[in-house]
Amino acid sequence: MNADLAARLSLLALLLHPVGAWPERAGLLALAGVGLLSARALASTTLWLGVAALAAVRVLRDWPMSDNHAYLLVYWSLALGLARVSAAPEASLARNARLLLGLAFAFASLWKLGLSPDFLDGRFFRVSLVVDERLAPWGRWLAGVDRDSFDALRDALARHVDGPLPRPLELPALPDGLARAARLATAVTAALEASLALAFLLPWRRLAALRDGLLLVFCAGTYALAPVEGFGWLLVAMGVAQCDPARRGTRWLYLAAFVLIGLYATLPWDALLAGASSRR
Amino acid sequence: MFSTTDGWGARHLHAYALRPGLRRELALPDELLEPVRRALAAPTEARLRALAEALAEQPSPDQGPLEAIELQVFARRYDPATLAPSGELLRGLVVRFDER
Repeated sequence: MNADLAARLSLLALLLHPVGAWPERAGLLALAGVGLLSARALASTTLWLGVAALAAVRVLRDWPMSDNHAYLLVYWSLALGLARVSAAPEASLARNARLLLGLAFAFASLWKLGLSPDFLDGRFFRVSLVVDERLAPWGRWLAGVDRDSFDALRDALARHVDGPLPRPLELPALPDGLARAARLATAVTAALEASLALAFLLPWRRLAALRDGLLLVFCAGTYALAPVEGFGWLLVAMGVAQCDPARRGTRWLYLAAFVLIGLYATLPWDALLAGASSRR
Repeated sequence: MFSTTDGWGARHLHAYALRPGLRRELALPDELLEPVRRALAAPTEARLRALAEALAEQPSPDQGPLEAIELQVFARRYDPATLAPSGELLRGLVVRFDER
């Protein structure tokens, strides 16, 4: 039952957020539609191997610019297809979903804690909350300054530079609220993702509630800030697949998270946060 | 998953055509945007060389034989304390056409 629900959510995500250039996009939409309308197709290995193949074509076509969740879609649809031919489809999919989630967060943690030179010292959030258009509505709200001041800060950070500047640049100061939020976001993100990696990779059954709780918190928080709903829906589908079937309430929470992520993607954050700022 | 400020979208590329007595920066034509993006994401020698050869085919208002195309890929870095941006040359390549 969890496997079918996870499969349906994965296809629904592809319908709601089509991916790839038109040939593979058309193919993925067709397979998603067929899988959602026909229970027999949903349970077919061929359908899922088709999804995996088209998702792989998308990664190859975009190489080397693909986002990380484009790869995750390939692995996940392959897991859905292979589970259908295993002796215990539910258990096979649950195990693969748990391991894929664990590995995704382990690699995310490896980047944040080990490889990236500018995450742990807070630079990533201090800069991205200002210059990344996806995060800027929150940056403007956290900064608590007027739009012109915020835009001046963004222009200074995003200026075109070849080599070092001839003399130190006089940058507008980062507002205190923004700097504090960046420090908090850095610490919480690093701790949460490392905890998720451990919780999902360690095989102990008693971690089931912790896994679900951490993943639901991650989805409910992250996708309000980062409008990457396709990634969030993929994580929710995998969360459902690995969820203990006895934990029916948790399954409902995953469904609520799926809806919430979709809602986040449709909200006019800029206008809402600008309104909240003006009331402060 | 949102780990670093360095991504291909935060990098930029300069291309120069070298002719006798002249070094002119080239505008990157729309039809080469895809190869440029790929070169920003992974500036390998093969990718930059292919891009240089495509740029050499572009019409030019300049006189004289094309000697070389020079490409430079920069990443934006931020000072840990002040966040002052600077550009780090990730890769530079000069592809000569006058020795062929």
